[in-house]
Amino acid sequence: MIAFEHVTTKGNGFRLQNISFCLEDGFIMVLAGENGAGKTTLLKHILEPDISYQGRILIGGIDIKKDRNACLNQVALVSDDHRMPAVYTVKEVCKLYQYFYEDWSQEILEKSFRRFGVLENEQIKNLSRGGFFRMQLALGLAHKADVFLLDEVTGGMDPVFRRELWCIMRELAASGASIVLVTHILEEIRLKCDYRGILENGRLVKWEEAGLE
Amino acid sequence: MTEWQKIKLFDKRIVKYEEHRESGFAGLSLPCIFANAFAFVLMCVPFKEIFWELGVFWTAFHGLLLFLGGYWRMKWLLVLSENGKIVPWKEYLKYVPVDWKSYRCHRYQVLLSYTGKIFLCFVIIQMVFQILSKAFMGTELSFEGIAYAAAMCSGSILLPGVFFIWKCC
Repeated sequence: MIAFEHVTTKGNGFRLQNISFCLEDGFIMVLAGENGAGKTTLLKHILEPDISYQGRILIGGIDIKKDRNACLNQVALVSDDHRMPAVYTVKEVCKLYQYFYEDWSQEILEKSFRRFGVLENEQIKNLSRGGFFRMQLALGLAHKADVFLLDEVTGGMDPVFRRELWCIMRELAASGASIVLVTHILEEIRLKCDYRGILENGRLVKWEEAGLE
Repeated sequence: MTEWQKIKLFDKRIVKYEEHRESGFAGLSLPCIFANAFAFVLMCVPFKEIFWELGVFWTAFHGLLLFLGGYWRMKWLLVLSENGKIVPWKEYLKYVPVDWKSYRCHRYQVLLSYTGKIFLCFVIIQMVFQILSKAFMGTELSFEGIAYAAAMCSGSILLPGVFFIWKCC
């Protein structure tokens, strides 16, 4: 479960303004908006400790300000911005990251790699964009994340990848994970998600169940 | 597994990978081994007699070697070189649930233990030379060399190391 409760960024510059929503386990939410609407900023409020804001962000019922590590244990980020040691292989990176997660499953990781076609001995820098996203998804599955944050993963990708990604997201949701897909492609909110939101200038101007329109 | 144990395992693995990637031995990089070997050789030389005239320059050179040795010892644990760019590990672990307090403390511990070992080696070398020179040449025992080693180890390894850890972690 992921919830924003009246989140407003403190300080000057671009700010999120009074963002509130709650996404229960097992649902997919598509958050759309034009470039500069605040989509990535919203994700940064979850992931980065330096951003100061009013309100609360809850992951699995835990306030991220109070226990950041417990929240990060439940979160998987799939994004171009997720920096990983480019000179290391996929296998090496996974072996390094595994120590920090409480509930790591090597078996799930290997299974996911096989399923997504991720080559373990490939260096991170040699992975394609789609391959990098698949690897991050597998990492999230291996540490049994409950919340998947997908930041602009569909933009610039071919229809086959997008279809495959939606299949994976459906499966993850069916297994009880909450998924937030952030995109600037407005058509994507017409796809089969459970909730849809539209951001404009840091405000959540629309938030509804997908079936209601 | 405690946070401390997790960091220890993580560091052990980084060292293993970097040892393989950059060539190293016993958890140390080759430049670190060479810099320290050279520094030890310089410490063995009865510098007061031979290098007295060089004075400050000799000390500065010795300090530089010790600094480089320390830098190369800690480098693997603090940063990663990627295509000529140096990226702190902190960047890669930004979205990972790391206990940063244990992370920093473990690096301070490694630095302290490394400095201690280097200091101990210098002290042993100094004592051996002092005893030999007393036995064969009848010179007086002095503790100047030990004081020098303590000053060099803290000034060239410990303080810069603390600064780098504070900056990178």
